Amino acid sequence: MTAPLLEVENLVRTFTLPREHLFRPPPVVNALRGVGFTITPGRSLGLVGESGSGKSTLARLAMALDRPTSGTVRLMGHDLFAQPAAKLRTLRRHMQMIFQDPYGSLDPRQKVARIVAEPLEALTGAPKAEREARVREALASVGLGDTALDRYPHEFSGGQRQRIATARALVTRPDLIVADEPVSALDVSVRAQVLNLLRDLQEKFSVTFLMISHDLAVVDYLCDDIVVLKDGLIVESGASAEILRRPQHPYTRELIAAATKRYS
Amino acid sequence: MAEVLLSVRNLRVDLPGPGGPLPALRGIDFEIARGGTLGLVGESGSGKSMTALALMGLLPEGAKLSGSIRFEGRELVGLPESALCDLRGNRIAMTFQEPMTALNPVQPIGRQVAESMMLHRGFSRAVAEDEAVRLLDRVGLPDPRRRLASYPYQLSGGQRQRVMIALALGCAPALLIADEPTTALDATIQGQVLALLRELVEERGMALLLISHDLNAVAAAATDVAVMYGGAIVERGPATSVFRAPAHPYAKGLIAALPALEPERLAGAPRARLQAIPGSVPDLAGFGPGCTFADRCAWVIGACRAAPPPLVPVSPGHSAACIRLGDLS
Repeated sequence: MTAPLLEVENLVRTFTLPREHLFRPPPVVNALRGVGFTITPGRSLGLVGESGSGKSTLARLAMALDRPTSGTVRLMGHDLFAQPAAKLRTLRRHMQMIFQDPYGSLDPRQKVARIVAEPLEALTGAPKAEREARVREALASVGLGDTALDRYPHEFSGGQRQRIATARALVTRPDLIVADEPVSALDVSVRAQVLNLLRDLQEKFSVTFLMISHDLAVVDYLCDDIVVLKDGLIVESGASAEILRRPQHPYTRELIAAATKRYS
Repeated sequence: MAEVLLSVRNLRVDLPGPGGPLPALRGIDFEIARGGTLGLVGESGSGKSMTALALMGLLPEGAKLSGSIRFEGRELVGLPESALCDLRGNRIAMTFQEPMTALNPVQPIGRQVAESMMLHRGFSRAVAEDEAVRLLDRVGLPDPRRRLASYPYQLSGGQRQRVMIALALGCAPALLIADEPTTALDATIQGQVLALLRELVEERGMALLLISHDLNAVAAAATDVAVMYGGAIVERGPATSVFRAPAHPYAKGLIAALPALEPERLAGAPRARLQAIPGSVPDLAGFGPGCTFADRCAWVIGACRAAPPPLVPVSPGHSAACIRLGDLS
């Protein structure tokens, strides 16, 4: 039995909205209403659900970018919300994130070398030479050469930008990468390239993904386990193949129908 | 054979560029029969939205249009703006991808749906509102009478898309152009909107031009398909034939590259690796004079880059623009 990589327990997150009426309490949104799951190393987990189901809130909590109303998130046994700031920073090298929009998530005024090195500068005191070697290695692993180093994000296509974002996530050699809709902003003919790249990285660097998508086909392509989220609650979870073959919840069946090939 | 409603011949659109005009549409041909549904599939830069804008007479400033668009027997290319205004929203209506930006955010939806009928059909406000309730009910908006006073922000994405469809239906158009009607919607809502479009085509005898990058969406609603790449139609034919036996290397590649759940996978088979198309879509200035797909094609030869390949028949009603079709199969 391997030790769990990420343990999410009974996570609740409510947001208070601006007051609509002077004499009534402000409305609240229950984004997550008690969610729990465990990711073990090497078993990527896919989180599916429609917009408003709480997927992205959960991703932000898993990355400790936000604090829950109640519940815990443990990364390799460490409770993320009980750590002093310095300890949390050293834990962050084990987890990185890839965002949906490869146009908005890369600083347009910085060169690729600096963008990819950024997590290293924030997290480790590694010497310059080692940092540079790590950046080259990360870029090479996503299929980009040294010529990319001195260029700016706008010189790259959407698919290549998502490769740069992936290199930035890989540079700390993380154990867990949280990927929030990593291909939904890409051209259809480029999606397969990025999905295949992510799949190769799983094998080559033994990275485990927490992958978030509204598309069950995308999640199934990379993940061993699937969690289906609806209105802030888990309605179904289990091994991908099992869920596809024997979906229990009507909502899961709808998602499967929506992602099934209607041609061929 | 149903009567031809719309016939597009050698349609070209050139956009002004820094180094001379850039071809956004490279002389495309297609037709839609009365009551027919054509799915226009393509990714960004393929020219599918440019086709819609050309049909609507809404091309951007400086764009040069040539070729022929015959609609209900009338030539639209070269028609004065006033005549186009009469057609637009009346005989040809369009829905847009993101209803939040296409609908007026500061006007209740009832007024927006009623307005076009007052304008085009001369209805009084009361009659137009009754008709709006009927239309909103038809597109499946719950409690439409009460919803007339709702603002777009109070509706969900799927409901907004339905409102926009109701708005487009107001004048009983002969042709509805739906530009990416499902792209902004959740997977499970997409199917409902496509089913609605299909029903409306059936019951109204309206023709539908369905524009989407989503092959699954087009397969769910269209009877005929045209696949676009770089401003050219590379393959077209009956949907079943094109999806089952794609002939053009781009169409073949696109269908193989799409992550979709295969029936075998649903039965428990392991996941097959996706076949990726190498490279990425160039910008408009990056296409040569020949086949637009040449730079990404595994079967490319010198002749492909010399001149645009003509559409050649592969089966009844199904043709592809590739000079190497004989060597592919």
